[in-house]
Parts: sequence; C-alpha cells; structure tokens
Amino acid sequence: MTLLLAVARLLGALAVAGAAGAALSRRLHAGLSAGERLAWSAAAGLLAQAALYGLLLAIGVKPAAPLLLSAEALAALIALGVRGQGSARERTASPRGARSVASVIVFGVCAAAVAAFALQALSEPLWSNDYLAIWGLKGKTIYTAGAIPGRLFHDPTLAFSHPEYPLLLPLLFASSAASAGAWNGQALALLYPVLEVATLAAVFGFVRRRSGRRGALASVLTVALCFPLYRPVHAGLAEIPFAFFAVLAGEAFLEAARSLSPAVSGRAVLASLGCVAIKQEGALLVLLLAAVLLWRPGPRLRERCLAAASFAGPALAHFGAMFLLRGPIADRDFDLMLLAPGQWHLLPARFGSAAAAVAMHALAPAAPGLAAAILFLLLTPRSPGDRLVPVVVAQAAIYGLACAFALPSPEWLVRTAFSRICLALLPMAALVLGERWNAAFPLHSAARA
Amino acid sequence: MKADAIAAPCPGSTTDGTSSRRSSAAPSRIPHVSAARGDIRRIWAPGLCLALLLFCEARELSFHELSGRMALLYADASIAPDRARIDGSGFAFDRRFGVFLRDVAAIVPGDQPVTLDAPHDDPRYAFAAAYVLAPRPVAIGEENPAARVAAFYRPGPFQAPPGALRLRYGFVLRLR
Repeated sequence: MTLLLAVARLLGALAVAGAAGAALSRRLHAGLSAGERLAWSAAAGLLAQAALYGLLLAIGVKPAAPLLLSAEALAALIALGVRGQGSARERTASPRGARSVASVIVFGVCAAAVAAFALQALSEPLWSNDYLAIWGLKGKTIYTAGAIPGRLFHDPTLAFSHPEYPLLLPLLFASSAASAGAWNGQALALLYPVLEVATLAAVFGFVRRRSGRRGALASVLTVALCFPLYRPVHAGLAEIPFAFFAVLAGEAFLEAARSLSPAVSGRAVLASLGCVAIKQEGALLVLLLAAVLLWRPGPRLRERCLAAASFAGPALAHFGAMFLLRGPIADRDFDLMLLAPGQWHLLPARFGSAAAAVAMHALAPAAPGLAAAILFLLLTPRSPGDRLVPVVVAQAAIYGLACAFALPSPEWLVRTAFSRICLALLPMAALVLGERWNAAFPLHSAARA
Repeated sequence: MKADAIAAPCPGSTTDGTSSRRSSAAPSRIPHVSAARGDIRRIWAPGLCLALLLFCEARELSFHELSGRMALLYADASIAPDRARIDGSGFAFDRRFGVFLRDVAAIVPGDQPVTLDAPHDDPRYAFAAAYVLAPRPVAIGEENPAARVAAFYRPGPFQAPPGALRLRYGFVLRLR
C-alpha cells in the first residue's frame, strides 16, 4: 500500500470515528460553539474507537476494518436513537459578525502552521526513541498480535517500554491502523496534525464563546505557533494528545467552576478519562482540577463534590481497571525508597540538583517567552480563566519536584523530559491568555465579534 | 422606561447611537474611550508581550527544513514502508541494522521469540529491534529460553556457520 493510499484510508477512518463521536457526544454539546463541538466529537470518537477496539480484543475477536467501522457506526446509531435533551435546541447564541482582516490573517497563519507541522510529521516514518520503545512498540504489538499480550506488562526484556504507562495511545495507534486496514508507521503520524486541529478548534471556540473573538484569536495563534510542542520529534509521543485532552479538561473545569450542569459534568468525565488514559501526568492534572473544585469557596458542598467527582471519578476508575488488567507495576522512573526516613538526608542534594537542572535546561532557554507570559499576566486584568493558573503552576512545580526522585538522576530526567512535558500544558494555559486579553479589551472584542 | 430599554445591553449589538446615550449614564461601560485616553503602556504592553511570546514560539520552526521534508515526503510516497523506515531518522545511527532487521522479520514467523546478537550498549538497537520485529519477543545480548531462533548481526565481513541462513548483514540460526 502506498503512503498516499494509507494516509487517505486513515483519514477516512478518523472521519468515521469523528462522526461516531459527534453522535455519541451530542448530549454534551449543550451551548457549545461549532469549534468546541468538533473538538468534543473528536475526543469522543477517538475514545470510542479505542474502547471498541479493546472490547473486541477482550472477547477474542481480531478487529478488521469493516468490523471496527461497523461497530462505531452501530454505536453512533444507538446513541442517536436515545432520546434526550439534545444539543439542537441549545446551540450557542454567540454573535456572528463579519470576519475582520485580523481574523483572516490569524486563520491563515494557523493553517500554515498546521500544514508545516503536518509536513514535518508525515515526511518520514515515526522515529523518536519513545515511539519505537514505548508507544509505537505497544501499538504495533497489540495490532499484529490481535490481543493485548500480558508480556507487555511482565516481560523483563520490555522493561524499557514502561509497562506502568497507560494504554490509550497504543490503542489509538492499533485501532486507527485496524480501521485503515494496515499498520503504516508513517501514515499514523496523521493523528498528530488532526489532534492539533482539534486543539485549535477547542481553544478558539471556547474563548470566543465565553469572552470574545479577539481573545480567541490570540489564544489560537499562541497554540498554533507553539512549534516547541508541535515538532516532528514529538510525533509518535503522548504530549500532543495529552495537550488536546488537557485543553478539554481545562474548559470543562472552567465551566464547572461557574455552573455544573449534566452536560458540563459529562464533558468533565470525557476529558478526564482522556487525560488519565493517555499519560500518567493526566491523572495528576485531573486530581488537581478536582481538588480546586472541591475546596473552592462559594457553592454548596454537594455541588462541589459533584464537580470534583466528575474529574476524580474517571481517574480512580482508570486506576482500578489498569490494576485489574495488569496487577501492580512499579514505576521505574522514580526511586521511591528516597521517601524512607533513612534516606531523607539525601533529599536536599537531590532537590538542589533538580532545581539547578530545571533552571539550566528548562527555564534559561525559555526565559524570554516565560517573562513575556508573566508580564502579560501582570499587565492584564483578572479573568474567570485565572482559575487555571494555579493548576498549571502546581502541575509544573510537581513535575520539577518529582525530578528529585528520578532514576538514574534528577539532571537526566530534567534534560530529557521536563521541558517536553511542561510544553503539553501550554495550550491549556492559552485559554487564560485569551480570556485575559478579552478582559483587557472587552468592548473591542464584543464589537468586532 | 424608554431610557432603561435603551440602556439595557443588547446581545450582539455593535457600537451605534445607543452606546453614546449609554455613555452619559454609565461611562465605565465604554472602556475603549478610557483606554484611548489612558496610559499607553496599558494598551500596547500586553500586545508587545504577546508578540514576544509568539516570536519565541515561532522561531523554533526550522523553515529551512521544510523544502527538504517536502522532497522526502515525495520520495517516501512511492517506496515500501520498510524501505522508508530504513532510510529515515530512526535508523540514522546504523542503517545496515535496519536492513538486517527487515531481513529477519521476513523469514522469522510473527509468533516466534528471537534472541538477537547485536550491540547492547546502545539502547537504540534494542528499541529498533523490538519495534521492527514486533510482536515477536526479542532478547538482545541475553539468552531467551523460549527462543527458537537466534539472529546474529554482522555489519562487516563474516563467516556464517553451517546450517545458518545467510543474510546481507548477518545470519539466522534455528536453535531447536
């Protein structure tokens, strides 16, 4: 099969998944803009594709393309047949003004940025070490074996593949390959620009709906030009998918902090599931979001608990499911023996080493951009999106603290992973930027929207 | 009542005559007027910060690579996927190893464990072997009791033992 045909078939498979996702998630689309509906449909479709694929494997059926696509279509038809408070009557009433020159320019720049990333990602087979050793290896093994072999979790020769990592990305690779009819390690790179487009749609639609068009343009431009994240070496890794689900989780969090409806709660569950199933850091994020919702002042305890449970529940459910699937597995990235009282005397040096490494390898190279972002926050008025700021800061801080326990050394983990995993938070942080921009220039945003 | 109706905000309304009436009643609702008269740092500074942030991001794009990648994509479009992988960045550390793994994958059934004799001080050999030969269990540089096949990577001149299946950059022995 030529590359062109493989890409075309995968694009078709992803379109089917997206359409199925739109049907499955329609009850969650209440009050959303078009961009947000596209993003949530993509999230639901990808999760449903992976889940159906896993289910078919679990019952001993090797999912061929017709079977998997039919299963997705059937799930969509069942969802459409279920009566309920659909989104048709609750479309957003956001104003549709004439497109300004600025909008056209920004959309053009975003399209060019996505095209550049797509070219870089698709120009050669996925090749980064983590793809070959972890995500791609598991996905290809699952696809070619037609099962989730237990040795992925218990074979000592596969210890480098991190058996403790979640399985959503390998299942996405395997299910996408199954839907397309063949495993092609170059065509699978298409997933990444598709996820980038979905992320941009989520960011733009959310900020535009909540606070105005100009801030939405600022946000979407910030995400589209985030070439430190959208670069070819990250194609095949989990950061870009995690960034997508993190944006959705951040949006659901901000909505839940304002008012918790069944649709918002459902979106929180969907986003939370995506986050925890794609990367271990996703569990940390959703638990932080849950904690903020639980302890925030104002709403009654019942509402706060419901909001927190919408995020924490999927995390706990995923943890339980993984434990049942593979049993307890130690994380080989960290030396938790350092937490023993007899080892505490080592901690100051390790924290110092981690801090120095973060300063040298992460903060120093990013200093101009970070300074610009901090200055922007200082110069603009507060906005409802500011609730995300402590979450983003805490997440990054915990990454840094965790490096103190890293194996083989704090400096090694900072140098190889810290910047990359922090970059995955930038699209979510762009939501704050957009809302701050609209708070700084509110009438301009409303007038030109 | 008429003044209240005029003063009430209309969703989606643009600046028009009503806003000028509203200005005498509630000047704080027209921030663009106060912004125009306000501190210029408050207007331009956020924009400059955003521009600097976008510049810091955008400079990470390697513009000079794009034309080369276009050519690479065009070339890969007409060759087999395994050939494209051997020619790509994944095997830049040792392309002969990529050819060797392709040959091993072609002759060893997909469910058979393989013991691989290849450099084990560089983890890229293990990563590449595990991926290319998947779903076959692969052990590099150590015995795998379940393995029925042993593959020996020899990038230079070599003498294959009797009974071995000779490949371009090594040979394969059936253990049992």
